[in-house]
Amino acid sequence: MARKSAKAPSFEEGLAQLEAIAQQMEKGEKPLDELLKLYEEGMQLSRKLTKKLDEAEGRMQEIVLGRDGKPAAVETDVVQQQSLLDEIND
Amino acid sequence: MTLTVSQLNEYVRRSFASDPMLHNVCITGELSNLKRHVSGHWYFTLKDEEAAINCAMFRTSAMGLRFRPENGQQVRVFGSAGLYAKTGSYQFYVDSMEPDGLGDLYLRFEALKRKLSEEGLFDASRKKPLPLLPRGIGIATSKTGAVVHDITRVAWRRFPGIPLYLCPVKVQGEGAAEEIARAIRALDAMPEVDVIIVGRGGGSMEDLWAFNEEIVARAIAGCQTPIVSAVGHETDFTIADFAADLRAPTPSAAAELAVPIKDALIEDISQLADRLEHAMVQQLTLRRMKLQRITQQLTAFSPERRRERIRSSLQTIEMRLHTAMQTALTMKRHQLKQAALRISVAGPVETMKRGYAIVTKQDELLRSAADAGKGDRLHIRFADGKIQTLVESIHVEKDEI
Repeated sequence: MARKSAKAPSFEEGLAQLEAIAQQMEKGEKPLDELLKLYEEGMQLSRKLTKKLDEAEGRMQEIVLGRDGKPAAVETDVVQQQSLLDEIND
Repeated sequence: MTLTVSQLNEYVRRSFASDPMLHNVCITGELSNLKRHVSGHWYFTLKDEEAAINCAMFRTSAMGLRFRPENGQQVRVFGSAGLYAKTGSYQFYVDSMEPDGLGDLYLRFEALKRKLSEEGLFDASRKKPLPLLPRGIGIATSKTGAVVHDITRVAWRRFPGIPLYLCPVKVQGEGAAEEIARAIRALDAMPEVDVIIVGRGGGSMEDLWAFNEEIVARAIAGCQTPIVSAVGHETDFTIADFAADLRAPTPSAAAELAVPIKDALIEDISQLADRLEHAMVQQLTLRRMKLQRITQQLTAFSPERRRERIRSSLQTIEMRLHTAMQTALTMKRHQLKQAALRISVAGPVETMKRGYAIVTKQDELLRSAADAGKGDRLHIRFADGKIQTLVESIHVEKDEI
């Protein structure tokens, strides 16, 4: 867990940060220039988080293990996304 | 003595019910004719080589079962024998049931469960939380069968296009446990995999057995990536379930646990952005109002305002002066008029009208007879004219002066 989460700030961390920014701004105790900075930061974060949601490329890959046990991703015939999406949309 | 059928059955039912030998009995036998009624009650026959007995297991008892009984299975049941008065048939009411014929597997299951539990492998403190938005989902299950389709369908319905990484494994039979364990480790090693789902569809205890193997339990426990188990049906519990961070009752449910609803997340973010927007507007408005208030307070003390105030008070004073002056003048004018009136009343003209006259000598008022001399030219002025005259004689009345 620690190894994986260390790679990049997670989505929930970003969401929690955005929530904290919203709360700080709603309190309104900060000077105006800091509020503006918070606003800018929050808006950037919200765009970044939304972008993260749209990054998913929509695919299924099959993992095959090499002789050394190292996994490699290859295209799979198991699930064709389009046919599945058609099924979902039905 | 003649009895009705009801009376006889009721009598036998009571004698069964009052016999302590028929309560809290444990019997073993082979399951057959297993029927799961829609009411939730289970009906089956328990038999050995020579005899059989009808059994009923009520819903509440059947719900407590920790395994999935199958026809032909050797089981041990606990309960009491009784009579179903309606049909007059004698049957066994089952309170609980455990596998007996699968005793070997069952004991191995219990022994491994106890061992790993004592090791702390199932401790709640070891459970890792699932990330809200996994970059990718690793799936360790069979390449064929409904499970991978169920997971994919649910995952992509919730989050269209979320990357899925299927590591196909044998889910039963020789070598299945080793393949499952290897798949878990392989998926765990992939940085793009943030959650792993491991599981298979329903089956008998033997079918599910790979998920009760120690090698699988250890692979799950050693997995750095949060892992969700979905083995068999809702009633099936395997060692893998205990070791996993989260147990899902079905593969579809596992996908629901692992994959967020994209639209809900978008909504969350947009609500937060709205709050920022709103807070900013509100803070700006509040500050603008405060600024206006302060500006107003400041202008009240400005030199212009002071001059204005002084000018205004000067004007007031000026006005008061003016008014006072006017009043005074009016009063004086009135007084003057009065005086003039009085003077005119007391003055010579009026007096002269009454018959008096003014005598002057060389323009000097003559007040005394003694001031006149004989032959003086005097002027006598009447109200309506004047006379010039010469003094003929003077007579002064001395006493009166």
